[in-house]
Amino acid sequence: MNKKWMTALVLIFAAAMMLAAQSAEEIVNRMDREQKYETAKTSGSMFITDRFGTKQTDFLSWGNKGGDFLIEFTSAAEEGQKILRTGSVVYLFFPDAEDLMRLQGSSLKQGMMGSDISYEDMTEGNSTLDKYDAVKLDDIEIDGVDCWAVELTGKSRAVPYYRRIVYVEKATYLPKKEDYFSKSGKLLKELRVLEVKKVNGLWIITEMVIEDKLKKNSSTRLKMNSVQLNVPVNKNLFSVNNLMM
Amino acid sequence: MKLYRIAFRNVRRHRVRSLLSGSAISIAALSIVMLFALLAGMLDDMENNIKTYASGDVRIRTALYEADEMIDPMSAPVLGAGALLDQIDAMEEVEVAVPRITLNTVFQSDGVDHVALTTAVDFDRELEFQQLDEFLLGIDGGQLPEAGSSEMVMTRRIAEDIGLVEQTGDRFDKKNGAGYRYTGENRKATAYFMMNSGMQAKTLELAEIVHFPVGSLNGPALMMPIDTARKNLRRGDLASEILIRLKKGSDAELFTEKLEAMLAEQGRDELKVTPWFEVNTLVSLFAMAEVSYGVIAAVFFLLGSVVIVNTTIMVILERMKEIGTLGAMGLEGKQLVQLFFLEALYIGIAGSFIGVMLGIIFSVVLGVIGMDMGGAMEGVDLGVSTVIYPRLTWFSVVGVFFYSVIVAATATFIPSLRAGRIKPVEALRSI
Repeated sequence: MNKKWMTALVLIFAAAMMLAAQSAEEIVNRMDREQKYETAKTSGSMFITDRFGTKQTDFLSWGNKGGDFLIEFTSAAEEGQKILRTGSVVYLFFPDAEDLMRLQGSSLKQGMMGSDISYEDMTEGNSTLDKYDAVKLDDIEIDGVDCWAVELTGKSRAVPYYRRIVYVEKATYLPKKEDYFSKSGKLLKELRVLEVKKVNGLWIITEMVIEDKLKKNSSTRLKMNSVQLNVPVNKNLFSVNNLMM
Repeated sequence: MKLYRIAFRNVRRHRVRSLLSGSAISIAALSIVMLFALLAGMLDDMENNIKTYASGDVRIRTALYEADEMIDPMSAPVLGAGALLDQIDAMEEVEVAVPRITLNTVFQSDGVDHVALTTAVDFDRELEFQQLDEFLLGIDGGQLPEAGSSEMVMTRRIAEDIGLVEQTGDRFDKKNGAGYRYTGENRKATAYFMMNSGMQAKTLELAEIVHFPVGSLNGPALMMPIDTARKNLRRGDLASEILIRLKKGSDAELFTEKLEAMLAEQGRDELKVTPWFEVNTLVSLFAMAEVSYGVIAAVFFLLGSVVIVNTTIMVILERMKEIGTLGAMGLEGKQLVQLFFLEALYIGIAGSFIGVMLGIIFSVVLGVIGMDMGGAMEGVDLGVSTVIYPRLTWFSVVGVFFYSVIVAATATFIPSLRAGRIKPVEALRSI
């Protein structure tokens, strides 16, 4: 065989090996990049299940790549309530209140609208490696899907979960499943991605379920009914003044 | 001369001694009568407080909430409370029924979260249920909130914590609000209601400060109109519970059965009707109180008995010369015992009678004006009001009288038997 062909073959093989042998950091960085958009506008529903039954809450949300987001609830019981995240602060707006509620510290650990998603979960940024050290574990198949397994350990106490194991789908670089642990190793929450779709050429998560493992029969299913990416979004939308309007 | 006449003459002759002995018996009897009346008053008060603040004569909740008071009541509320109230109002045994919504609440002030308990009530009904207007502090002549308004009444503790009122430095007077004033023109605060199903919030204006007679109720708490709360919660016509006060003479147990039957007919299996004496936490508290008070009464009884016995014995032992003289005059041991018994009986009857009568007078007077235990109860939460109204019982009057007489009389047996065995010569020599 021609020397050039041999070289090309070796290079292709090496590239394939490199792809297969991605480091934990590379996987995590790529996972973060896949979930970062200039802007996003979604409408969706949360189905919150506990021992008293299941409650549906509908919402509209807007977000930008800086991590700011605004959620406005549209279902009857919560109509008009809004959640704004700007920087690392979360504000809650209620139609019958003249003041905003500013969430900080331990109050961020509360579940949003009684769900298993805490406000603290919502303050997590897309730069995972700023807060966590990553170690690759053995590859695994989840629900018939090939995944990398990466263990993330918090660099400081300022992280909501000391240890996480994220199972990243090889085909999409999106999380397929994620387990959240306390420092003592107790499983706190489990996230499973149920559906992904391609929007504007990008894979996005459109349905997932989070289970609180510390409670009996407690789960929250999040379903995105419509997703628009990189659409014009007024940046003033993410201001405290706008929240009060 | 007959012994009973001798005994009577001895009692009259030794007036000082008889007075001292009789006084000891009177004081013991008086103390026990008043103690029993006070304890009866405290139990009455506790029962009244349970019925007023916690359960009514009969309480309706969902079975889920009744089984586990730690859950958020909004997770298992009584639905269709309005229609249910109409039915309850129509029942002949019912004096008044009140719906209540209980909400765990947070206020934010200067970046600090302050926790409080909100009870949303129908103020018109509550006025009838617990004379709520009597508990207003009257800082600025405020009134109870009107139905549908965005007003609230708060305990002074939470109002102070969030900066709506402040102390003036004057002595606190719960009758006319002395000791407190509003901090400024702005009397509004936003209450954030924390529920398992999420949060709601409402800005409310402070209408007045309320001060309950039961210390434990004066923690961080507020009350607001129930219709305002329902509108804010957007969950329809619901309540955490409905408390029912029955007309005098109505039996709570019978009414409970009647109400349960009515609800069962309507398929309202999710609801639980509980008479006040079956409310778990309260029953155990009440039972504990009865036992505790019984122990206190027994200790006092014992102390009183010791005083009577000790006094009687001392009186006999100091009369050794007299015993010797009587023996020398031919009085036999058996007669001696009878003589002392009769003397103690006369003194016991007189002393007990006076003591019990004084106890009745004091208890009746205090039963009208009340005993202010405020200072003594500071920091102590027994579920009783700061003002207690003692109540006499048959046992505390008749029982104590006879008990004191019997103790005084029978206390003479042992010392008089001993004295009766001593030879007259020895008795005379002992002086």
